[in-house]
Amino acid sequence: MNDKRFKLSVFTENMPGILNRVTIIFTRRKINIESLSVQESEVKGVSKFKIVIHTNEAQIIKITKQLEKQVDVLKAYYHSESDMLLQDLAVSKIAQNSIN
Amino acid sequence: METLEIKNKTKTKQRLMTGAQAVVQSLIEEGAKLMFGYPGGAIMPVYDALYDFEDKIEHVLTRHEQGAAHAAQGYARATGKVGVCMATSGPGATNLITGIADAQIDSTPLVCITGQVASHLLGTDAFQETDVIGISMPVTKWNFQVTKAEEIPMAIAKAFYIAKSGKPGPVLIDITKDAQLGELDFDYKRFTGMRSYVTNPELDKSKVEQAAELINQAKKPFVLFGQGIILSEAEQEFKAFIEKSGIPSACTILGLSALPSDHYLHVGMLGMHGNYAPNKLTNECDLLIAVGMRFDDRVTGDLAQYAKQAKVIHFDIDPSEIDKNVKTDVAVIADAKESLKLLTELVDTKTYKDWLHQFKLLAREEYKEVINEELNPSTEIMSMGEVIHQINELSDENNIIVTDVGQHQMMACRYAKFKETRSMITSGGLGTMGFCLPAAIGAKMGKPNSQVIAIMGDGGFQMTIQELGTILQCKTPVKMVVLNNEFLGMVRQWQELFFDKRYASTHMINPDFQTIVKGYGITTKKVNQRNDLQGAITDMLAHEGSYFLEVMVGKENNVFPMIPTGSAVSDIRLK
Repeated sequence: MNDKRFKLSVFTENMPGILNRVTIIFTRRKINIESLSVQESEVKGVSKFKIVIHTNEAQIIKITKQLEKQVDVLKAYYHSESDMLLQDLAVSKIAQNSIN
Repeated sequence: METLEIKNKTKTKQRLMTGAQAVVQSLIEEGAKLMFGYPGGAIMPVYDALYDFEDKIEHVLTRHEQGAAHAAQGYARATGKVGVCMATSGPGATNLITGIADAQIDSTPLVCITGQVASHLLGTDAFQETDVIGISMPVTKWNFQVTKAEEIPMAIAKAFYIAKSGKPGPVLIDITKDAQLGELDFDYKRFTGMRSYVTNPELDKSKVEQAAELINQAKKPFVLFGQGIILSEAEQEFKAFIEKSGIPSACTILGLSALPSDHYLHVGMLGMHGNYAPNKLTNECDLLIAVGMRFDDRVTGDLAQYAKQAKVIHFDIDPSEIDKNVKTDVAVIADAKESLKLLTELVDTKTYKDWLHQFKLLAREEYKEVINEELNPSTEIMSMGEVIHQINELSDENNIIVTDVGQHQMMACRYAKFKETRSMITSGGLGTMGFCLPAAIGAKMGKPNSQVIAIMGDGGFQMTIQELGTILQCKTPVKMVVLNNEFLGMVRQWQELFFDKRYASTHMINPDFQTIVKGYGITTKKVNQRNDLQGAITDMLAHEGSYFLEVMVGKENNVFPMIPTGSAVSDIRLK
């Protein structure tokens, strides 16, 4: 399998049942959610989901569109693992410079 | 000053109502004149409120909640309006689910209202409590649980808006009994939009220009059209586009009736039991132009061998359909009415004489090998196709054909002739047996001046046979045709072709349908031989009330052509 690790950022209205609507998208395709966290975003009333899954490039694009199709979802983005590492590195470099 | 104050007081007093009254009032505000449902404990306050509004909104008592959902679907599909159905909590709500799932996959606008146990009992396994929000979530476009009376007007306004806008679909509103009994100050406002939901994506004109460029360069372009044409009311725009560009066009099962069957550019139906030419030539065209269709697996066959030689343009309102099954070269995400209008301006006026001739040659082959024998059988055994053919010949153009699911459905789709849009109602995506009878009732109630003909098999008819009671009570003049082969014909056909004729659980020992239907006070007729067929159909069509016609057809007839599962569209078999 060509499955890779992807992270999804999903912004939704904060309302009962939205977590279920989001997770159904994965359940239906038998994709396991490796990790999930939900918190209020910078905008009041808007929740931010961070979801990590293993799947392939073609599937992650379709899943992102399916998430955005939900009436109460504002926006969904996906990032591949390489994108995530790049962000981590950038953060740690700044931290070292400030110590020196 | 004093007068004004009194007026305001009166107005305020008039608005004070119970949640149940607000449900009914909100439906009236949305223009609903007809709804289908079945009462029960948790929805009783709404039924009680309905009793006072019988002159404004008619409630049709079906004989099962599934019947209510399918009837609402039939109503919505025939009229283009939102279908409304209602049920109680627990089993009432779960019985709606098949209809809701059918509406979801076939993009039918429904508002389903369910009663729920009182809010303090939620989650306690109370009598007739079921988590209908959880159960319906995967098969609804949106759903919402109301636990306070004051939430009702907004919830219903939002439900209608979401059901009808964008790509339509079913919405469920679950209302606890205490919310129905509570009071509110009623103030109705139509819902106008929300930030998280784009109903009509803005048309990217550059995409239409790219599409037009590909179309103008193409040597063998081919248009595939689906229900999107009907849903966006773009029938005229679509016709103008194909007539100017001269491109042969084939429909999906749900696209039937979007373009008149006898249009010179209509080359038939796509898919597993569709026509020979459009399936074959899908793999020979140089440009596929898909409009309001979603490349269902029954249309594409094996995707790895689907139109690999062609460039693909996809017009759809739903971004998630783009590249879902077939990779597109140009995607136009917008309402078809808008995009087709601009496209027509940009395409060259053309004709494709040789290309169209290729379709005609293959159509002739199909006629010789399949259609001729199906419509004019050489044996004494009657065929399903000849019954449909006779209905075409004997009826006027104001027909709405409603089908169930199986062999008779494919025969009706293949051989019925359509003039007007929304004149074909069938369960396409979900393939729900039992859909036809209640959907036909809903269609007839929505379009009382149309002749509604329900075409069913003996299997599907028995799945919702109880709706004969609805026909009896409402005196709905639906014409019912059961093509009886004493088999679950489509499954039997597959057993014959792919399972060594091992007919496991497909033979049916049926009751005497004539006796049953007579019990409901409906005029009936059974035809066993060809000589009686024409007369019976004529009688049925002329009959003022409901009519039940049972035709005994060949037990082991098959539907051809056929694309075997997993094969390429071009490997479609004529026998």
